[in-house]
Amino acid sequence: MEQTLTLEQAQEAFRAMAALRDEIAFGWLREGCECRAQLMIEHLQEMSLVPGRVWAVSVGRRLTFPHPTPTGRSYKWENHVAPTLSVEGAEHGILVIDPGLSQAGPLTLGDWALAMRVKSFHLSSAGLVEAEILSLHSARALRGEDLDAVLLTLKLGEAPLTNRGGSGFRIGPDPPQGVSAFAHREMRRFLGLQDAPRRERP
Amino acid sequence: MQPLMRNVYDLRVITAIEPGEGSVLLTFQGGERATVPTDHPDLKLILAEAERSSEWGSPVGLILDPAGRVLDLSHTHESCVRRIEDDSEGPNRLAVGFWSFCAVCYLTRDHPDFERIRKTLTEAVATDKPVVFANETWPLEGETEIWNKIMDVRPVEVPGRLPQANGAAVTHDSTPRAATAAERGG
Repeated sequence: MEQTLTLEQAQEAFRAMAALRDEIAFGWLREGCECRAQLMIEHLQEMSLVPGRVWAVSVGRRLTFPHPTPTGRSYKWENHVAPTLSVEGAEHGILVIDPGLSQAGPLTLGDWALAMRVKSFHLSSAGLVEAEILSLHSARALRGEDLDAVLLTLKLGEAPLTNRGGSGFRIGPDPPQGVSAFAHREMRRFLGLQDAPRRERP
Repeated sequence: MQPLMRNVYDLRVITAIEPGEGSVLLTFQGGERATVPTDHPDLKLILAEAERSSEWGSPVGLILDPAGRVLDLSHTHESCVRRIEDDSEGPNRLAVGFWSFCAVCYLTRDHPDFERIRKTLTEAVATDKPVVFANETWPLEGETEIWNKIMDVRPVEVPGRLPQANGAAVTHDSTPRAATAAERGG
């Protein structure tokens, strides 16, 4: 089903997602982006919206996201995923809903990539196989250009790396107990960790 | 068997959780036991993870001291391994990328089972076969990075006895494959 939102509608959807801090561990960024994305997708669908997913797969350098507090420290990721919405007039026609990366509102693909310090990327609207990513990287290198990451904008059900299977929830096969059950169970764990006091190992 | 004089790193399935005097007793598949002192600062998190393991048959990552006390107990993940390579920002660790785990993880060279884990990861890259792995519960905070420290990694389908660094062996009645979190969650 095709659905294109106005910018105002996308901002409203973003605010609704960002308000779910008690349900979705936006502050626990060491793992679990696929589960945060899944839970947001389910909430967006409950709002009668038609979300997709965008995957960032690191290629020439790892994705780097500064810790939200001003510590000067960063997280490094192999890949990252967030929900998208089709939005009228937006760059590439979509905006990314990712309150873990930006509290300011939905992001364009370019700004989402830049939030992870990705300056050069290849954009694909279909899943790729790993060999294609390697070819893209080689071709860029031959031209003296960088390729920090590949961004894949996908409909729900599409795998980012087609040779690794799965429905797009993560890179690889889906959890056997089902994506939703897995994501909800994992999120309970993330929330416990997010809210627990840090300590040094005895 | 000589008692181990160093900490043990392993992935094990918990079958029973019982209150003890000043501690909580954990029983693993195969009958071995460990204790969690009730004043452990992560007691609540550890028991939650232990209960998940007991309920679903999923392995947990463990660091046990020589007396069998739990120093850390954490969640396990199953994934194929994308890469393992020298870390350009730190000579004391290797950077490890997993396909189904978004964050970069690091294997430190001072890990007592460094060679075993490095070999397991290298083979997993070559064969594209999945591994089960655990990071320490809390990420480390360096000067520039917050990072995941690998606790242990095991091939998904290695049956039986897993050698330890000191030449001793631990018997695993059930391999991690028997029930990973990814397979048995809910």
